[in-house]
Amino acid sequence: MTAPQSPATAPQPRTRLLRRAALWLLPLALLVLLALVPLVIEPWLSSKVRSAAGLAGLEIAPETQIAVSLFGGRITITKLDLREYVEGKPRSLMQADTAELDADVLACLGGDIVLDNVVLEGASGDFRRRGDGTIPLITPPPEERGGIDWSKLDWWEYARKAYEYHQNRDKDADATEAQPTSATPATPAKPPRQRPAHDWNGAHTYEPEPGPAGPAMRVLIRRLSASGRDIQLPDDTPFAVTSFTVKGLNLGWGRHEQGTDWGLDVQTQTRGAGTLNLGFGAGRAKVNALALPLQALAHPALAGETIARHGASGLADVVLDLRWAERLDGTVQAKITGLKLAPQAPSQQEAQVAQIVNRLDGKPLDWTMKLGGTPQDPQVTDNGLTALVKDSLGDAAKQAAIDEGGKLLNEQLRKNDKVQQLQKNEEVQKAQEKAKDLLKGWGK
Amino acid sequence: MYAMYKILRGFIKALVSAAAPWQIAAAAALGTLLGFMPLWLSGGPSPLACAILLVAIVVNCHLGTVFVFWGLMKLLSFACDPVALLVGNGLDGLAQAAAGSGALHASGWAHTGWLGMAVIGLLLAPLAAFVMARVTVLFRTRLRDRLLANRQLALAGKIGGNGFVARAALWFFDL
Repeated sequence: MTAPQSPATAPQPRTRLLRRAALWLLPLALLVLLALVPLVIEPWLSSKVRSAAGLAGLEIAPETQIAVSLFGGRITITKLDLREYVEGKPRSLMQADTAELDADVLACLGGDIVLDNVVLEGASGDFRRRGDGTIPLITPPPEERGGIDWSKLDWWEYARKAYEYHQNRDKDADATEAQPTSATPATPAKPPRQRPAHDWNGAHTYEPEPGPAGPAMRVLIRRLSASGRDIQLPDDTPFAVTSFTVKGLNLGWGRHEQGTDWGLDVQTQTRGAGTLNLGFGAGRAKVNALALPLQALAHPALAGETIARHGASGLADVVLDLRWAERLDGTVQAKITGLKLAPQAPSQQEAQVAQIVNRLDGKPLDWTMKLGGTPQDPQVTDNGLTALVKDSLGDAAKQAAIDEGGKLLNEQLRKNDKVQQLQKNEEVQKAQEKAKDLLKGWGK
Repeated sequence: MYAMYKILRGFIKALVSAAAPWQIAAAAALGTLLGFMPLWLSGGPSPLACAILLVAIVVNCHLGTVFVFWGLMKLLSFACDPVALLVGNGLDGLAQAAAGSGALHASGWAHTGWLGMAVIGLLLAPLAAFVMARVTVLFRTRLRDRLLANRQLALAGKIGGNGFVARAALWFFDL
């Protein structure tokens, strides 16, 4: 008979490698978190959307409803009213019946902002100048300007620099794509940028180099669809938009998506300038204005007195077509009908031009101008005036001369007809015969 | 002072608990790593530290030891700032490489200071694990049995002429 084992010598139960409680507690905690998402996290995200607008100096009106679906990756905004405060008073800048944003959640987890779909319906905007002449959304409100004189900023220069930056970025991307895979050694990647670490004296930190191969943040809208009503432009011109539709594809900045092209097509109906269609893409831009009244271009807010003093009237179909890679290649085609000039206080030369043009009696003029140079420095390579004078203007002048000649001929023919008719008249014939009788023997 | 008391008490409790030495050793290693790595950086949570914390929760290590070592090593890390900086600046190439990896960049490895800290933590973690495993075994095989058998602590209390101190000491050591 053996003595029972003492507790000290009893074999210890084998310790588990994983904590049993953790195996059900962690999923339970996860479930609780998931349940909390619509109750806590989504309302919090909605408030973050509002505060993001606040950081940009804007306000989303309280009556705007923002619904965030984290798992669906969707933000739905109804009755959107985006305002700014100028001198303490709210002013509505943009309104929309609905706005829907579908995010690519996986891409967003990687630190990018990628929206699969952006749909905006029933939009309207008011970008009229503020009381001090500045433009909303472009120039911050006075209290946020920080002493910058925005009126002195050279926007053209900024646009040029932005274009050059994008060109260089595209070149880098192309160079990366063109790199051979294995045959020859690849050129070393750009080293990350070194920055001093502000939280630690003497330390420094490395930030990834932004570019096609780096993990820099990317903002991308894969599909954009917007439609709306009126858009008030900064100045009250005939170009004020009364309805519009916008379609966009792969719009954004940051890293490229391989094998994708971008495009933006805008169709607008204007209050007094007809239909205006704009199309943009990689290395292309097209502007198409149909039945554009020349009086609209003469609006003082657009061209000052430069066009207005000629008193031009008529309709123009204008097509601006630009394509570029290294070099710019473009045409401006204009077909002007019903052109009339009524210059105010003209010089002698201007008066002569007006006289010639007005004698054309509104016949159509086809004017094609060719553009060249580089995208940064566009130039007019052929102003098309010679062709205009030879062709349309010449034809119109000839036609005017023919018409004038025809008129004179008809006048003459009419006169001749009258003479012939008189000659055929019996009374006249009798009178002629009487006269002959009277004159018989005269002079013998 | 109260924090120090809690740490010491937690330490002793771990030693006398029923946890296996490997559980305490693993906990010491994970706690050391957590102490030398930031859990939250300016850009958000550190993925590496969060992963270590998750491992500490899921693996059946002694959680008390994890938190004790986390606190202890955090205190120690403050004293190690200059050393961490030297180590981090010496590993400049690794910091540059870490900038190319999203997870490592978010964990602060592209920052030479935090990189130095993490390297010190990685070096100290196995050392802490080994020391704690040995201390646990030694404490349990030698010191604990002797303490329990001879009631030396109680005797010491008596020598001090104060039964309250002895009782407090017994309570403190969870005996």
